[in-house]
Formats: sequence, C-alpha cells, structure tokens
Amino acid sequence: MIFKYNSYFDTMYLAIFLPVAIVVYACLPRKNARRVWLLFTSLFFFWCDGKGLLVYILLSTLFMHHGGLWLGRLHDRLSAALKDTPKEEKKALKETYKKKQRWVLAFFIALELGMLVVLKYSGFFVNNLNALMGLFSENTRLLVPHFLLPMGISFYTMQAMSYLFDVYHKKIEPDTNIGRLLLYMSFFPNVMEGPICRWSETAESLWNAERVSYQNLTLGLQRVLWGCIKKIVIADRLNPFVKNVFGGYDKAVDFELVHFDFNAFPGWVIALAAVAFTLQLYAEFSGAMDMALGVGQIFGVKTPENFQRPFFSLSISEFWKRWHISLGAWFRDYVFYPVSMSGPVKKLTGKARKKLGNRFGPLVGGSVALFAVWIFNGLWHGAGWSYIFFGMYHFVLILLGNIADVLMQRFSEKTGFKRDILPVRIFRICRTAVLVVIGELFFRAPTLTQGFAMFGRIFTAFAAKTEEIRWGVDRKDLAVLLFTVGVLFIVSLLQEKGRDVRTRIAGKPVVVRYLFWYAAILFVVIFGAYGAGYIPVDPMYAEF
Amino acid sequence: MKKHTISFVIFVVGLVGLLVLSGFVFIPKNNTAEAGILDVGANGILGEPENTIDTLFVGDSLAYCAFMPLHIWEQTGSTSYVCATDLQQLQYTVEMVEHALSRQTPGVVFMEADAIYRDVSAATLLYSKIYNAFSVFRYHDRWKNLTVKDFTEKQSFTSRDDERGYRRFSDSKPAEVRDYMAPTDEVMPISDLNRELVGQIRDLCVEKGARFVLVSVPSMKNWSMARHNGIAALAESLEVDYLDLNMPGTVEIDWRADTRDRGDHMMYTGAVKVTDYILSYLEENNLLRDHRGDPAYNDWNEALQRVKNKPLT
Amino acid sequence: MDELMELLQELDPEVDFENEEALIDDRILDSLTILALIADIEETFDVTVPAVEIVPANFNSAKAMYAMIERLQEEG
Repeated sequence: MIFKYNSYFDTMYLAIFLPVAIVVYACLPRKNARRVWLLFTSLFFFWCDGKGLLVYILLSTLFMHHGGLWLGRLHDRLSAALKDTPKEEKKALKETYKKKQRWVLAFFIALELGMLVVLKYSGFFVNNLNALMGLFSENTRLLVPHFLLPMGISFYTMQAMSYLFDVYHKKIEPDTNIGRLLLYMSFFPNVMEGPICRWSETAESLWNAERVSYQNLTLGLQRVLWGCIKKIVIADRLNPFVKNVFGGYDKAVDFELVHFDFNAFPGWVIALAAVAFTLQLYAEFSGAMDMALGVGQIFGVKTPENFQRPFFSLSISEFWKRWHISLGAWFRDYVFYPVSMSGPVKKLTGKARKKLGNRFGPLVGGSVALFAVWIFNGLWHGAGWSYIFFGMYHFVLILLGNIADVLMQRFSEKTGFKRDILPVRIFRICRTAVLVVIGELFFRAPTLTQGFAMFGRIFTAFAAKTEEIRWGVDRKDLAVLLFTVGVLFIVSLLQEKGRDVRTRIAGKPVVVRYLFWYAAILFVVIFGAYGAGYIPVDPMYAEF
Repeated sequence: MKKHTISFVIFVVGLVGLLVLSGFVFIPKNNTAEAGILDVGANGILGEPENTIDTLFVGDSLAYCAFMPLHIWEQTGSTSYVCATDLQQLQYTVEMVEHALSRQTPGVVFMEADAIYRDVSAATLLYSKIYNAFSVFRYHDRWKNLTVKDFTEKQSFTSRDDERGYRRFSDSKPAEVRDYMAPTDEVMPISDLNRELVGQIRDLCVEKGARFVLVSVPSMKNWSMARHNGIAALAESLEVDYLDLNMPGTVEIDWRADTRDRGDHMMYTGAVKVTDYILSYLEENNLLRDHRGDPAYNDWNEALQRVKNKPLT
Repeated sequence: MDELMELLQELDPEVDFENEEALIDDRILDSLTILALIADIEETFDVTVPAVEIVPANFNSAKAMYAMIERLQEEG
C-alpha cells in the first residue's frame, strides 16, 4: 500500500494527500475536470483504507441511485394518473401508490441498513444469542462472525438513508447522475468521521466544484490548523493519562501492554480521568470536524456544523443539540418525528393531554419517540451493552429534564425565582457538564460492569495513595494543557457571544496575520504530542 | 491573484526558515540522555575520537544483544561499535551508517539481517526525510528541558558508552527447540523498498572503502530457513558475504542457557559465542588491527576494567 | 392567524411570537413543545401535519406556520 492513513492528522494526509488534492484541484481549469478529480481522490482515499471494502460504498450508492429513481418514477406516474381521474377516485389512487412507494422505500432501506447491521452488529447479536442459548444447553454455539468494517460505514449509510427518505417524501428530486451521488457519499474530508450531510444542503455545492478562492483557502486552512491544535496538542496529550486509568482499547498497538487496573486509583483520580476523557473526546472529535469542514471550505463545499460549543448547554437536551449535531438532527428528523407523528403515538399524546394537561401531556408520546431515538443512538455508537446503557442514560436524563423543566417553570411563576440570571445559568451549565462526564465514563469504560465499578470507586475509594500512579502527564504537560484549553475556552466564549473570531483574524494586517500563523504552526510543532515517546492515537469516532 | 501568490511564497519561505532555525535550538547539544539525544547507546559512537573504530555493527535489538566490542578488544586489541536500536527500520540504518562513516573509517560493516524483514512504508520514509530536514520535528519534545545554552551552544559530543553499544543481559530464560530452521526451499520475499535501502547501505560502505557483510545472529523466534534463503539470495545479488549463525556448524548455541527471553535475544553467554565467531571471520579476512599499547586507545582498557568490576545484573 | 397566535401564547407566554423569526434555529421551541403545538394545530384547523412538514422552515416563525397550515388546508 502506497498510502496508509490512520486519521486526518496523519503526516501522510496532511503533508502529501491533502496538498496534492488541493493543488491539482486548483489548477484544473474546467468544472468537469474538478468534479472528476474530487471523485477520484475520494475513491482513492477510500481504497487506501481497505481496497476491496470500496465495493460496499459503491453498492450503497447503487442502491440509493436505483431506489431514488424508482420512487421518483412512482411520484411521476401518480401525478400523471391523477390528471385524468375523477375527483372521487383520487383518494383511492393515491392510496394504491402510497402503498407501492412504501414497499419500495422499505426494500431499499432494508438493503442499506442491512449492510450496516450485518457488518457491524452480527458479532454482537450472535455473542448474546450464544450466551442466551448457553442457559439452556451447553454445547450449542454459533460461530461468531467477524467482518472488516469499511471506513465510515456508519456515517455514509445514514446519508444514503436520508436521501431515500427525502425522495420518498418529495423533499428532494431523485438524481439520475450516479457520479453526483457517489461524490455525496464518499467525499474524502467527511467520509471517515462525518459530519452526516444531507443531500439538500451539501450535494449541490459539492457538484458545483467551485474554483478555489483566496478567502476560502485561507479561512479553510485556518480552521484546519485550529483542528490540529485541538487534536494534537490537547487530545493526544491527554491520551496517556486517560489510557492509564481506563486501559482498554489501544492495547493492540501498544508495544508494551498497559497494566490496567483501575483499583489502583483513588476515586478522585477516576473522576479526573472521566473529565479528561470527556475533554479528549471533545477536542478530538470537534478537532476532526474542524479539519473536515476546513478542507470542505477550501473546495467551496457547505458541510453542516457538527458542534456548537456544547459545554455551554443549560440542559442535557440542549447538549445533544450542540454536540454531534448532524447525528442528533438525523435521529430527530427520521426517528423522533415520524414515531411521534405516527397514528398510535399521536392518539396516545391526545389522550395524555386530556388527562395530564398541556404541559405534561406531550411528554408521554414524546417519550416513546425519545426512547426509540436513544436506543438507536446508543447502538449507532457501537455494538455493546455499555453503548446501549449510554443511550438509556441520556434518555432518562432528558426525560427527567423535561419533567423538571415544567415543574421549575411553575415554581418560578409562583415564586418569582429567576432562572435566567447568571449564577443560576452557570449552575445549570456545570450540572449539565457533570452529567455528561458521568455518561462518558460509562462510554469509555472497557465493559459495562467495569464502568459501574469505576463509578462506584469515585464515591467509596478516598485513600490517596498517589505515589505509584503512572500519570502519563507531568507538570509541564499540564501547563501546556491548561494554557491550550484556556485558549479554547476563551475562543468558545467569544463565539458564544456572537463574535466571529475567524474573520476577525483574517482581517488583520498582513504582518500580524503572518506572525499569528507562524506562532500557531510552531505551537503545534513544538507542543504537539507526537513522535518519539507517543503512541499514535486512532480517531475515536471512526470506529463507530 | 498574482499578489496572493507572491505573498504565499514569502509566507512559505518564512515558515521553512523558522522551522530550520528552531531545529538548531531543539537539536540536542550533546549525545547524552540528559541532553535529550534519542538512542543513547547507538549514538555513543558520536563521542568516539575520529577514525578509531575498525569494525561497525548495525541492526535491531538482536544486534545489540549479540555483538560485544569489549570482548573483541580484549581478545585482539581491535575496536568496534554497535549502532543498533529497538525495532530498527532500514531507513534509520541508512542514517546510522551515514553518521558513523562520516567520522569513522571502519574496514568492515556488519549488518544484522533481521531488520531487512521489517517492511519500511512510504510513510516512514517520508517522516524520516522530514525529520532529518527539520530537527524540530524529531526533538520537539525537548521543550520541557530547554535551557539558555540550547540557544547559544554548538553541538559537541563528549559521551562514550563503555560497552560500545552492546547491552549486557545475564538472566536466561530457556527456549524449547521446535521446528527451528527446518529445511525448506521456500524463499521469504523482501520488499522492493527494503532491497533498495540495503543496496544504499552497501554502496555507502563501498564508497568509504569498507567491506559490507550481512549477518544473522541466532534467534529461534525471528529466524527460519525461508528467511535464510531470502537473505542468501539478496547477499548474492549484492555480491556480499552472508554469515548465518543460525545454520548448523556455525555457533553452537545452547538454547536452554544462552538466550535471554525464550529464543528471541542472546544473553551474555550466547553473545560471547556469536562474537567469537565474528572474531574468527575478521581474523580470516585480515580485518583486525591491534591498538593495544597505543595511548590514544587507553579508554578502551579503562572501559573494560569498569565493565568487569560492574556487578552483573 | 389570531387563532394561531392564541395557541402559541398559551404554549409559552414569555415568547414574542409576532416578531420572532428563528424559533427553531435559536432553540426557543424544543421538539416536545412542537409536538404539543402540532396537536393543537391539528385540532383547531382540522388538518393533519405529516412528519415531513416538521422542518425549521415551517416553524421558525408564526407567519411560516400559518402559511403551512393554509397550504395543508388547500391540499385537504
């Protein structure tokens, strides 16, 4: 293999692939050539990861193309037929077509989802089935299948499904051009870790293959650099500490196996590690998004934002509208509303409103839909009980949050207690962050049982025997971390107040700008956690 | 657009300059661990006086566990150095040989062949090119220990390794002999890039007037007949000698006693056997020089005494 | 339109529904409130709001909601 990348922060990607992709693109004079180039680089990028696995994304695209056209043809035939039908028969005709379309949609969704389910979840299901059968007889064991997962399958499958749903609902026109679909599915800056794009938002600007403009180039590169700071300076520097406490998943690449025993740590260290992991995950994932969106901007592509400073959220429900936004939006549009608007749930909502009133009533129907969302959300993150628990944890928190919200509103109406003053807001922000950190502890723990054991230790193990702890970070590392996280916080705060930090920097005089760039690049080069003594960290969200 | 292009070029030139300059700050000013040099044992050769090393060994951990320069000195008064590092990859071997040959004029360079089967990827090659052009990438982590001297001083290497790159291990874990070097006609293939790199090392040696010899030290875990066949074919195509000490009739390794970790690396007693074999090769080919009695080589005698007085661990 | 305004005021008296243009984008209405609102709309205006119609463009302002309701009534 000529090229091999583990992440978008690989030297191979940053120093070779990306510059070549951009420079050639910028030099191509014709739009069609640029499109072909984007498509070629994207497929090449995918091929580098898994050669034959390319066939899966091609199949997905083929199904999507075919399914879309079929649904579109049914729409056309229906509207043609409606013209010559007397009014009283129209309704019946619509019903017949609706039924047909539903079958077509179900068939193609089954194909798309089927590939994902078989490749990603069959191992988990068979394992659990074996455990279940083991209760009854000792000798029946199914062979546990193990598949190589194509890069980004959890992300591009969602894109394919949203396309089919949207065509079915006539939100978008089906596309005859399979090249356009393929680019939408495989665009290399997004394919590994998202964001999950929508056809109506992204496809056009992608296929438009705009020329590289000076502004897009500099703003895009600026964002790439910001992503590097988050990932290489913050996330990777936190990694040794998190790994020492949690142990777990990088063991295979470790030259020396990390001795994993969380019982060696007092509770407060485990709590600290949970905070560190949450920070690492945020820096890593949002950094990868800065990389993806920055590169997208260079090519003139509009990709949806995936993070909106989530740690300023007042509630868990708000948190999920600001963290991994494209996933939450997907579940909202294709699970939450369809479930809550479906016949039975609607009836339930209606009844509940009559009994419980306007405020609590919708909660009942909403909860059913919410439950579906969070089961899927947990499973999407991975085939494992700790992910399902993670989903249920957030489901319960959102549910409680909704009830508490109504109660608090009544309380403040009666007493005049102000929920919007700063101290209360800060309290709510901190409370939300603590709840998120607890969730991430279970998310990161190697197994659910160990997750509970670690969580328990936080409150039971106070013995501060810290001499033997392998911290993985020293005082100087900590200083760099605090400084960089401080910068991240200030930038976030400014953005939260509506200041456009990015264009402000871009608008400074050239000398200031250059000095700024030089300082930022040297900062990553010097303070980045890479090279001798650091084990490269695989991107966390690429596994999902 | 033209204006933008010019300013972009200025920016890049400035950036490259800045990276090179910071490299001067970050590069270690001495070859000691305290000064931040990586691979202290192997880089100890930088502290040896110019043109005093007669024989050079390169390779991975198999090599630094098997070749004993002080033993050669004690027996013959000839000097040698082992530039071997953990999991050495060939592009790094090239660097090691380049550095060594720029200050030393050995008559022979032995290369342990295990590293030839460690595939070098294009990525690794790229990294090492970048790392060599800009030292700041390799030594950036020294920001933790940077002092004022790093900004003002030039490099000067003062540290010498008593064992001359050899690492002594005196605990043994026995290995069970099973299928070791079972005969086969199979030839384990060597990647094109690795072939090319070994060729480069040979050319470097020939250019400096040193004989280049491939050698495999005994290792049950790493060596096989298929690998032997592969390296033998490579040696033939490069027209160099190949000594495979895994082959019967070369060194008699007692696998219950001479290995440090169940057949992977040599321990002290095995290393003596390997080095004795190398000695006989050097003797046969007239590659030994005797420096005993030359006061310029006094440190070798002192090092030998120090090592002998050191308790075995 | 007046009927709609009444519904909205009842739902959350603190919001200025007449002038607010980004009810969804600024997260003023959350998804559960939307569910209640849709139930109200369906009851008052005798329409069915399918899940597809729940997009920010249709709910960002009272004006947009009313336009959607009118459209749904026409389609019948």
